[in-house]
Amino acid sequence: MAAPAASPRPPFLSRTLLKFAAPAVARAEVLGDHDAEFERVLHSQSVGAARRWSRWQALRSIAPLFVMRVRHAVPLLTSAGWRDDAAQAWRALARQPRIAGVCVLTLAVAMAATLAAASILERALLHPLSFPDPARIVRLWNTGPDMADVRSTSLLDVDDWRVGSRTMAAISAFTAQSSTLTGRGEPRRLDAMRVGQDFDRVLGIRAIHGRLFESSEFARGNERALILTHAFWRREFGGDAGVIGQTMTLDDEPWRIVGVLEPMSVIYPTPKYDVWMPLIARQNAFWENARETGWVTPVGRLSPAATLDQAQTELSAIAKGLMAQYPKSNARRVGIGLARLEDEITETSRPVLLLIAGAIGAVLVVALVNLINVLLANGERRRREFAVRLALGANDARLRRQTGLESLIVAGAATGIAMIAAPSLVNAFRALYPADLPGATASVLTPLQFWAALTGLGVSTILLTWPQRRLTRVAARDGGLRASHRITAAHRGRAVLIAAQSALSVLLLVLSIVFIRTVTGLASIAPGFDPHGVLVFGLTPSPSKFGSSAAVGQFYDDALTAVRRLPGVKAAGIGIAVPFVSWGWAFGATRQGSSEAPVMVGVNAISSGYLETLRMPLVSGRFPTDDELRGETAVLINEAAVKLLPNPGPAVGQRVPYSGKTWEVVGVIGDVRENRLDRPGRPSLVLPWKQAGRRPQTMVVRTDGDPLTSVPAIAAAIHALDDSTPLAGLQRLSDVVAESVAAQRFRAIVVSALGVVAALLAAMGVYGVTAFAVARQERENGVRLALGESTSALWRRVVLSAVTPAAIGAVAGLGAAWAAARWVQALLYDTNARDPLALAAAAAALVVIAALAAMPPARRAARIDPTIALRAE
Amino acid sequence: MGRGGYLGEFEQIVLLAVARVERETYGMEIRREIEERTGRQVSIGAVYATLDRLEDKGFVEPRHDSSGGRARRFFVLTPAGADALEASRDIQARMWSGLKLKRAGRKS
Repeated sequence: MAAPAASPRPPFLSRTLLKFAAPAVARAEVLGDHDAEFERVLHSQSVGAARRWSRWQALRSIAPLFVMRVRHAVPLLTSAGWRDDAAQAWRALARQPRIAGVCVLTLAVAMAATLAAASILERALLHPLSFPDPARIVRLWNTGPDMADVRSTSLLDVDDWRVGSRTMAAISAFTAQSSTLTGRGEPRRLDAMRVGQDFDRVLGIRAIHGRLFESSEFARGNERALILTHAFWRREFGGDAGVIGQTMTLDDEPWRIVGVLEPMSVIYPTPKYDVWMPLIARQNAFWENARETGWVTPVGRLSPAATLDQAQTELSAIAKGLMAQYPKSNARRVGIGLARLEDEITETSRPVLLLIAGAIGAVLVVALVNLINVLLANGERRRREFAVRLALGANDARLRRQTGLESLIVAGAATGIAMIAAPSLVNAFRALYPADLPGATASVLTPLQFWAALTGLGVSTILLTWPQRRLTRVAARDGGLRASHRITAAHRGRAVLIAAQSALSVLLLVLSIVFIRTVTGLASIAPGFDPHGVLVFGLTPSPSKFGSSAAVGQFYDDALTAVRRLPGVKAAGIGIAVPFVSWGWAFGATRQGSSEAPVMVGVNAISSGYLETLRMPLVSGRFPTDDELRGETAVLINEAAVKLLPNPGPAVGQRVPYSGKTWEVVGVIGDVRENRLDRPGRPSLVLPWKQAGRRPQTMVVRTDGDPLTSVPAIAAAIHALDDSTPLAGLQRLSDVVAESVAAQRFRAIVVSALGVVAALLAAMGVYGVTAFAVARQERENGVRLALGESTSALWRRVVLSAVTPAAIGAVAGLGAAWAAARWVQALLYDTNARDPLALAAAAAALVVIAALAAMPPARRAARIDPTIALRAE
Repeated sequence: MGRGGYLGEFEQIVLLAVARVERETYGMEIRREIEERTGRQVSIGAVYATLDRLEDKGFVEPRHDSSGGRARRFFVLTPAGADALEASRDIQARMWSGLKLKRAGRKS
């Protein structure tokens, strides 16, 4: 029947609808009828009529056909033979335990990783805060002129905001403080959070024992009340509820414990602190009673009726009002900014977590591709089994039920393993994650995880059934004895899968290389001092025992003398701004006569021995003498500060004004990295250490060997002088510096581990596909060898057939890496995300891996005896 | 009456169409027969779904045949199918006997 050349084809949409609605038993007939009738209407009437007819048919047929489909499925689910089929399925799995094991393990790893990733992302990005209605909690801050933000403000301002605001249900503030705990074993530093009135209402947090602060406790003289964090309570008191009403001695004052907080998923506001104290302005601290100072961080909770925009408008008006009312102190506080706390908390972790989730996803795809490969290859081996069963009277439906049951057993086992393993994975990830991951409490099964597991079970059952179903169908059609053309098509499909695996592996390998280069780049940065073999700890004597500056000074002198006398101690010193450990203070400075914007200059105050302990190099001039370090005339500056000096020319000998006095520069020291290896330090001024006043001091001690082994001796020497002064945060300085690149190292470890896994999986995939192809082409290879093909040519052909799809995939992977560089670059230091060498190395590595994986099957192919191969079929 | 019980209207029509052809027949032929006799367009899906139900009830019997090029199932009326059709007709006849319809709300 010759149709006219321009004859329209039956509408695709109608056919598709019919095809999917119809059960297998009637599908061919329904489509055949549809096409024939369409043709008839087309010729007897018009194209339009035929199309209308087709649409009408499709729409009217969906419902009855679908009902028919369900009717056909029901007996399959309800009919007898379940036990037989289940036993058959079990035997089929037991016959090939290795295949079954590979499937279960691959799926289990894939699902566990997905579950863990889902759980981490859920906690860390979607719901990091366990507080009620967390989207209404906002951070507030003053905005200055020129859009400059001032994060902290005065308590007086916060009180005025609270009074003026209607859109906020609660406004409060906090500031951190460190206190010395005595009377409970060794004296220790406690990290306290001074929290304002309503802070608990802002968070919506409750006390699990005792109570929260009462308003009477925000009054002078009545403020010595403590609320313990859940973690501190567990750690310090072993979770004893009887702690309420007891007192703790902080900075030599008795504090009454009034409550214990419920656990928080994110320890807020700082990752680690122990107690809440009522925040009120202390009498002896002038800055706390002033309006122009910035010393507390405000937070608030939006009232349920208000939007962020409404609050913004209202608070801006309040800021304007305060500016008019207090022109002197509030001149630079032109507005109030606000942002959701959740957004602020996830801001830093988001890109890294998304990157890792993406990498995990890529590995999963590679793993599942392998699984499909294994099943397709194996299914072809099972073709005969299906054919025999069909010949013995099993119907297609029973075969389908059996393969379905096999899949369900495998997927069920994998899901079980995954659900058991996922919490451990989450914990391992947390342990490895450098910072405090938002959402610290984990390992309970959330609804999301439950649904993820259930979906995983369903999807993997279908996934496993699909390759088997294909083969059942092939077996049903041709009795399992031919079907070579279909296998060729399947082989081509597997080459595409190999290419996809290779692409993802190359992408991950490129990322691994650039992340590792970032870490090695950071590790090779000279910080400007020598942190190895140095012990650091905070040393702040109790203010009530050492009332005067002279007494404190004497204590430090004695402590240094005692420590230096210990065996194994090579040098010791005290400073207030030890790099990576503590901060001094800073001021803005401009070169005289210059109109440039002021540069922040860091200030340190040091004792004798400090520079020697840290081995900071002298660039010019000399170190101050011990006498100068007790005086008020000599300063050191670092190289970065030289350009800020009033006069050009040599720095040494110049006089600089600071704090109402004139100082002489006696020497210039090298610049040091202050708290990040990837950022150069600021210009800085090093004063004699008495200028530190009563600021917290940090002692540095250089020892022979591991500095931690000297801790008992050092602690004993200091406690012999005063047993109430804690040695706070004892650490190796080298550990602290290493910790500063932990985030980059974490990324590099995780991504390169995933990269290696992906590459190995890809190698397994190449091996499997090649081995299968070689086994199937045994006869063809035998013929070729018999006709004179050399074994080396055969070898080359087999390896090339494996390397070609891998190489094509590698090129695609390079493209993906090139595109991903846009997002990755921000996470790198001194490394180009599109580094040609990294790209080339990754691609080359993958092609080599693919070639190596294809070697064993190629050798097997070349070793066949042509006569045996020809006799085989 | 067969195990299927009472015949639905469309089931009856399809079964009658199978019976009218008086030989093995298939989906498209059945549908055309119905469309010609009733003057109504019938959906392919409805025909096959109904045939499927009738097969389950034992009123038609299928036979696979792929000799004619396209895979087709041919159907013949079974004795049970014939019984069911007659029973339906008898029930209808008994229900109709002596009945004169009066249309309420319509004058004359």
